[in-house]
Amino acid sequence: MIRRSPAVVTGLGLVTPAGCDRDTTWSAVVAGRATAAPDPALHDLPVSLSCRVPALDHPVLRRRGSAHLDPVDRFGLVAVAQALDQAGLDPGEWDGSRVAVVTGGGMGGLLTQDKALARLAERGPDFVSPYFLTGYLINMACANIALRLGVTGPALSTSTACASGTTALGLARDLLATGQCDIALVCGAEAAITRLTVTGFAQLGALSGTGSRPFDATRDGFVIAEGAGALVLERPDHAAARAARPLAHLIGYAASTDAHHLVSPHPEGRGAEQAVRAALADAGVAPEDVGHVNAHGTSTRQNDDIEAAVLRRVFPQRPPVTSAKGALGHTLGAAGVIEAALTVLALAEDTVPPTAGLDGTDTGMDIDVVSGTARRHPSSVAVSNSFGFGGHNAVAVLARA
Amino acid sequence: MTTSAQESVLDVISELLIERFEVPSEEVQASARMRDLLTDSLMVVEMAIAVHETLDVKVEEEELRSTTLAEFAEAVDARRTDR
Repeated sequence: MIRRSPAVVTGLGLVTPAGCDRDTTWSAVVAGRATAAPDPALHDLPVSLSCRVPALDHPVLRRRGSAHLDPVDRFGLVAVAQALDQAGLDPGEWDGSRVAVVTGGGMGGLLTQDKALARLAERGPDFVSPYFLTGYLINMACANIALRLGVTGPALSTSTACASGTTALGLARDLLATGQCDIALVCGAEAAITRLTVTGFAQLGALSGTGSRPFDATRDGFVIAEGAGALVLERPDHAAARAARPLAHLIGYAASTDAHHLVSPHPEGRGAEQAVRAALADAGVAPEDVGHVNAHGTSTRQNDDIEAAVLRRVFPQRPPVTSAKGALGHTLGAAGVIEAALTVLALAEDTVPPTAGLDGTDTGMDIDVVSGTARRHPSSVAVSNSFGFGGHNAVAVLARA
Repeated sequence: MTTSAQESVLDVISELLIERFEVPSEEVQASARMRDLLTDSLMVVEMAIAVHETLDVKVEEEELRSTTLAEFAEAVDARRTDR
């Protein structure tokens, strides 16, 4: 039984390697189309695969002052603009003091930092752009959204590595539930495909040089990706008063921390299981009520093993499981919001997308991972998992409208 | 060359405004005030760096706040030809 609905989703936006809008992204994910490709910028590194966002254009990027935005800000602004458009909200007309924005991101404007570092080394301090810090600081995706849209309520950034997007969703939900705003814009954005970042992940043994294959017996790491997702959350009474059509309800959220290791997940998934169970309790639903799971499913050996064990323990009914990272790669801090948006679409379309790259689920996992073609499967409730370096676990529970 | 040296400095700065600062080309007129074209203080600093880099002339931010595009181009050009 669903206890309460502290937040409704009234709009969503997507900028991903599969396409720069909701529909192209959703069709690619439903078709199980992998977007990983050899990346010329990484050609001489140990791993040179990435999932890049195609050329991006949108009216929100054609305004004065857009020239110096980092890609992370561009992705975020476009995703939020799409979500507002779907929600039927006009920033020119709202009371900005009742609007909040919460962004999730793990890395900040790394391309801007790379450029500034190169200038400092090659030309000296006089030639470092004053736009270095405005592009690099991790709060600037949030600040840019607030500035352009006239958001004068709380503007916050979360950074829990690859759980950042889901953490942002939970924080936004709490801002609504505690009456600090009527509308909360949530955005996960990341643009971190740089030579240094890729090298860093490769040195940790986290990357695949052959492709993303979540839960597959042959998986050997994730493929780095970039992009953004955005959701418009509103209190149900606020959405009802303006006759906005809810796309889904955000009914539960919980977070936990492994406190086990800086990058390795707890071997028994202690923190992950705690977060899943707490999110279900927060939503007031039983494990049996969950129709499908949008897994974190990174395609690393460890994550998928441990997550599969957690899902097997928590959900005895073996609900269908999917990972968007087979198609889109791992968008790091953006992943939580992108995947929550895909979960909203899955609930609305009665469809669980396949896990691209998955040929045969690894021996002993004993979970029902959807592969090959999308599965028609109506769900009233779905869970979206995010787990990050640092031992951060965040889980959202969504219900169909 | 068919254009005078001063015109080419004006061209270079106009091109920076349009290409690097994304100022709408119809606003980039010789009589436009630089402070109207460079709408925030960071753009002024960035333009000083761009002129230093592209034309090898150091300019003061104050010059960028008090001149028109034509006057600014003339001042930069004067310092280029002085050398």
